[in-house]
Order: sequence, then C-alpha cells, then structure tokens
Amino acid sequence: MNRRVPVVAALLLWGLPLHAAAQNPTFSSKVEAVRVDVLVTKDGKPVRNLGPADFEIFDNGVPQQVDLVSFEQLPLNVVLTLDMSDSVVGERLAHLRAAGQGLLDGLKSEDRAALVTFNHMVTLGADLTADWGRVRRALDQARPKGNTSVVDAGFTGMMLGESDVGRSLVIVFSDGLDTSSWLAPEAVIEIAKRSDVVVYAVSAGEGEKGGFLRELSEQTGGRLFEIESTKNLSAIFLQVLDEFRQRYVVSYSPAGVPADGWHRLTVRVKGREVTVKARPGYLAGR
Amino acid sequence: MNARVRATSSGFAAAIVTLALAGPAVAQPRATKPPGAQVSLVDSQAAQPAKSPPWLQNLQSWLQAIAEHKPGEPDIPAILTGSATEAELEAVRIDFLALLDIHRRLAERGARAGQARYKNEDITVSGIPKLLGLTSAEAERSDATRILKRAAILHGDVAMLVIPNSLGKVGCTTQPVVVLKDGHDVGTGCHGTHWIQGRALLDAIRPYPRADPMVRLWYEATIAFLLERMDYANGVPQIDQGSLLFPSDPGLLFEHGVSHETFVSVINQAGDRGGKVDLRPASAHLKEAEALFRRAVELDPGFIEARIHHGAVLGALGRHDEAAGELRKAAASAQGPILRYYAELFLGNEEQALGGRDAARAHYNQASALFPTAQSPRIALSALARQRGDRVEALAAMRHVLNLPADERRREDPWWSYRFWFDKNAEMLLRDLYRPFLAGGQQ
Repeated sequence: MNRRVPVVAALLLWGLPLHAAAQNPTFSSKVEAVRVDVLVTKDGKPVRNLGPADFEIFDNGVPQQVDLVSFEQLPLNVVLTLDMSDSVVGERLAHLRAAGQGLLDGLKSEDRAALVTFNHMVTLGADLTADWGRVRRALDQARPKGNTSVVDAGFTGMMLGESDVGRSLVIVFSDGLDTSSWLAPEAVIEIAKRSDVVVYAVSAGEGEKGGFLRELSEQTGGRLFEIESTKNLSAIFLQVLDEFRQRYVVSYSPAGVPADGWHRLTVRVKGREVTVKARPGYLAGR
Repeated sequence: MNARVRATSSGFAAAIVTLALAGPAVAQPRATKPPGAQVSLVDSQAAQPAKSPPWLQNLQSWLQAIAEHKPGEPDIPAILTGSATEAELEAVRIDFLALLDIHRRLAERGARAGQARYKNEDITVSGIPKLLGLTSAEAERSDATRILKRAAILHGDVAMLVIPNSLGKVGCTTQPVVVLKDGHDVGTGCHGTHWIQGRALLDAIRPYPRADPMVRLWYEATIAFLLERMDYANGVPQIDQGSLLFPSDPGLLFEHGVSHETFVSVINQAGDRGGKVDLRPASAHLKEAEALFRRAVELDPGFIEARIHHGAVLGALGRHDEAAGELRKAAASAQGPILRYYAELFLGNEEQALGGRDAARAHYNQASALFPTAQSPRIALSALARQRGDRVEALAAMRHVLNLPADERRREDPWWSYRFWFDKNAEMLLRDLYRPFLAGGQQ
C-alpha cells in the first residue's frame, strides 16, 4: 500500500494508458498519496453514502486529512490466482472452474480480469483484459498437475494486480500446502505491506490453515475463507466480489509522519457504531 | 527363469526349489524333541529325510534366489522372494543366522562330524556349510559375508524393483504409512520388510559390517533411492542404521542432512504415521541438518553439493554471513549446470539478506542464464526489485516469468527437485554397488 510515488510518474514508467488514470479520481498528479480500501459494515451489511468527512484516518497515530472517498465508482482489476496442482481434481476442479466463470459473470463492463494458474509452475492463463472470453477459455484449458507453489503464485498475482493503476483485487484459491515455492512467505508478506492490492484467499480442504494465505489476506485488508468443501465456492467468489465492490477507497496525503518504515493505520467512521475493516498498515520507503 | 524354480501355492514356498544340497544334510526328525532353535550335538549318523521340512525348503529357496538373482534386475528370483510374507522372511533369516552360528560354534570346537539338532531336526555337521550355501573356503573360515551381501542386494532390489509394482500389501509390515501427494493423503504406503531384512543381514557380517565398503555403498545407494522418491517411511530407518554404522562418512552425513532439510516442511514429515514422524520444529531440523552438512564438508572439503546445502541451511537459520561465505566457495568450484545453478540461486538469496542487492541481482541473473526457463531466479529478481520499491524492474522480471511457456516440458527449474536431486544419484550409486557382483566376482 505504499503508493507513495508520484502517480503520473508511475503511470508513465509502467507504460500504462493515461485513460486509466483519468478513471481513477483518487490520485492527483503531484502529491504523494496513500489509498486505503475500507469495508464498513453494520450487522454484516455494508454501510453506504459515507463521505470524506465521515472518516478518520490515523497514520502512526497522527490524524490525517482525508482527501477523497470513492465508492463503487472505480473499475476493478480482478486477478484470479488459482491452484491447478495434482489435488485439484474431479468435483473440486469443476467447482473451481464454475466459481471462476461465475465471478467473470459478475464483472461490470469496465472491469478487467486476469488468470494466473499455479502448480509448481506459475503460469499466466490470461493477462489483465476486458475480453473476459480469453479468461474463460484459459480457465477451461487449465489442467491440474504437479506440486503447489502458492507463495510464488501469491506474489505473482499481486504483481499482476500492481501492473495497472486500477483498483486491484487478487483472489487466491488453493487446496494444498506449499511444496515448491522459491520465495519465502515472510518475503512476500513484506512486499504485501508495500502494495495496495487487496488479496482475498480461499483455502480448501486440508489446505494451509492459518499460514501464508491468512497473513497475506490480513496484511492487504482482505479476508481468508477456510472451507472444507468447494461445493459453495461460486457463492464465495461472488461474495468476495460483492464485498470488494462495497468497499470505500479512502485516500490521504500523509502529513506529520516519517516517510519511511512501517505506518500503522487506524480507520474509523465518526459517530457511528459500525465495523471497519482495512489493512493494518503499510510499509514505505526502501 | 531358472527351470528348477517352480511356483506353488503359498508364501515363500511359492519358490520350491529342487536343490541338490537339500537332502543329505538333514537327518530324520525326532518327533519327541520340542521345536525350537536350541542346539545340541548328537552322535548318530545322518539319515536321508523323506522330505525336507518347510523351514528348510524356505531356506533353500531363499539361498537359491540369492545365488540366481542378477543385481539390479526385477528377475524371477526377486519376484519370488517378493512374494514372501514378513514372518517367512524373518524366519528364513533367523534360520540362516542360527545355522551359521551353529557352524561357527562347532568349528570353534573343532567338530567336523556328527550331528547338530536344530528345530527338531538332526543335521549332519558336515552338511551345514552346504545348507548355508558356503564354499569350502568360506566354511573353513565360517565366513558368510558373500551370501549376506548378495542377500542384502537381493532384498534391496526386491524393495526397489518388485514391491512398488506388487498388488496389495505384500512385502510390507503392518506399520501404517500414509502416502501424500501434493500435500494430501492419497492412501497408504509400504513400510518395507525387505529393507528390514537387508539391514539385518548386513548387520550379521563379521567381524564388523562397517569394515566392508560394500555395506557403506549399499546404504548410500539405497538411501539416495529412497530420498529421491521421498519415501521417508523407509528412508528414515535406513538413514538411522547407516549413520550408526558409518558416522563419519561424508556421503551418508550428506544424505542424513538432506532428510532433515526436507523435514523442515511439515508436509514431508507426514509421510509415516507409524511412529517415525519427527514433528520437531523446523529450527530443530535445520540445526541438525547444519551440523551434518558441516561435518560432511569438514571431512571432504571438495564435496561441493554438501557445501551448497550447508550454505542454504545456514541461510535458513539466519546465519547469512556464514551462509554467503560457504556459498561463495561453492559457486567458485561448482561443476555442472545444476550445482552451479543452486549455488548462484542460494547465493543471491544470501546477498539479498545481507543487503547486497546488486550482488544478489547478479547471482540471480547467473542462475537464470544457466536455466533460462527457470522461474525461480526470475521471481527472485522481481521480489528483489519490488522490495526496494522498483516496480518497473519488478514487473519486467515478472513478465519473464509470465511469458515462460505453459508447457512443463519446455520449462526446467532445478529448484523444483532440490530436495530429491543428487549430483551422484541413486542410479549411479546403484551401478557402483552392482558392478562387482555383475562382474562375476564372488563378492
């Protein structure tokens, strides 16, 4: 979440179309900005119609001026990062494919999607695209085989999410323990603290309980779903998409805090008894 | 298949063999004596039995299988031996070793004639060497080393070549073993009786099994075989016994270290639910691995593969300075692309941990140049760039990964086999093990 670089400069460096920036009202061109994805709920239901004046943000305990708040306005980049190792077979594979297709059905026309599959290899099924048919075909063509590199894949999904200035949601599905990643989980978690991508993860069956995926989703402000059966995977994917759409994107220009290091974030909504979910902080600087 | 071998209906007796030496050594049984292994000398002349008792038939079948087995082949003697039950294998081994002991004791007493009593059978003293399959010279020395070694080869081959292709639980103990695939329990495996048999037979070599280079090689080769297949249920006891016999052998120290390095991952420890699971924390396994690799390198400073693993484990323990030092030495001497790849990849990791980002990048690039379709160094380069905030370089490196072919056959990353790849692999070690036996020597 360390979007602490001049955004236009970043766009140019990444060679991205400028219209992408125009779609994103969160950033100005010259001010370093931090943006935070925030989910506000009351009794489990999203709270709507909040504006900048409703939010309080504390960066390392220092109150910040909220610049902009957006809700349901930003197009999404959804990166599906799906386990295609040996264990994803039969019904589980069918459920996973159906869930992926269902999620694509739930996208809006301005949204983009990508597919990364992984076993021990990380493979790009489809790059970020508005042509969801490509993603659908890649999903149908993916065949399960081999070991599990969920840590490498989690990092890959984040990087693909970061490759565009849009609002990125990474959904990681895995049903196994990591058996073949090169990257250490801690290294990827450290990078996650610097990224503004939000990761939701689904760990199925005997998967890794409480390990890397929990930490990755918590540190990015997302959520881990631990499920025994993939029977309801489609509903979970749609729930993730719906929940992500219900989130506010709150941005501010940090003031009165050091430039580098870990920034603990506290986000509140003034005068309301609501539940606020946001990433716990971000790591800035080198 | 030898024409004299014919299959019958049950157990080890499926390999009933009409051995010429079977009859003359055994006298008519005395029905009044209780069965057992107690030995006593008797003075009557040997009589020809009408039919050999089952235990003797099994012993003879076994000895013939040993004599006729071609090392490294899943041949008929190996297949027939593979059909034996755990009880039959244990019984035949006990019978052989008991008769060998009788022979030794009689030889010590200078007894060359008369009869011994074993399992309610009167056995002619002069016939015992024949029962044991000993040559005259071996009988003179009471030396069964050749047979014990060939027997260990046979049982190792049965365990490696026959049992994995057998149906059911033949050749397996009742000890429960779970088989994991991709982290999931996919069924039960085999805790092999033939491994137990092989170890027990080599233990019987006199004066000391550790004095025989073949024994060391048998352990090194079979452990490599088991580790390559990630068969820890059988690998761990094999390593335990090999380490006990050869505590200062670099090859075995290395293999022992690799097993602990692998057990750092909990998934691999779940390979045996029969009491062999070592669920200590990762740090405990890393420390053990570090000590074993260090010792291997001390004993053989040219053992580059052990040095690479030592460096990797030091790094995992957070001892990055030592790790980098060890890996620099390894990288400077590593031969062959895979060892060089490992050295460069791990060295990149350690330089990164020490803050040497340029050096880390250089080493990751070296690794990538060795295996251009390997994803690990590219992912490492991407993460390295991302950690220092360079998203452009991070994505550029990631693009290399994402542009790699989707077809696994066109992608090669030695990292994926790091835990079960050996520079001197099982095939090579087994070839070394078999060579003297195939060359026609007595061994």
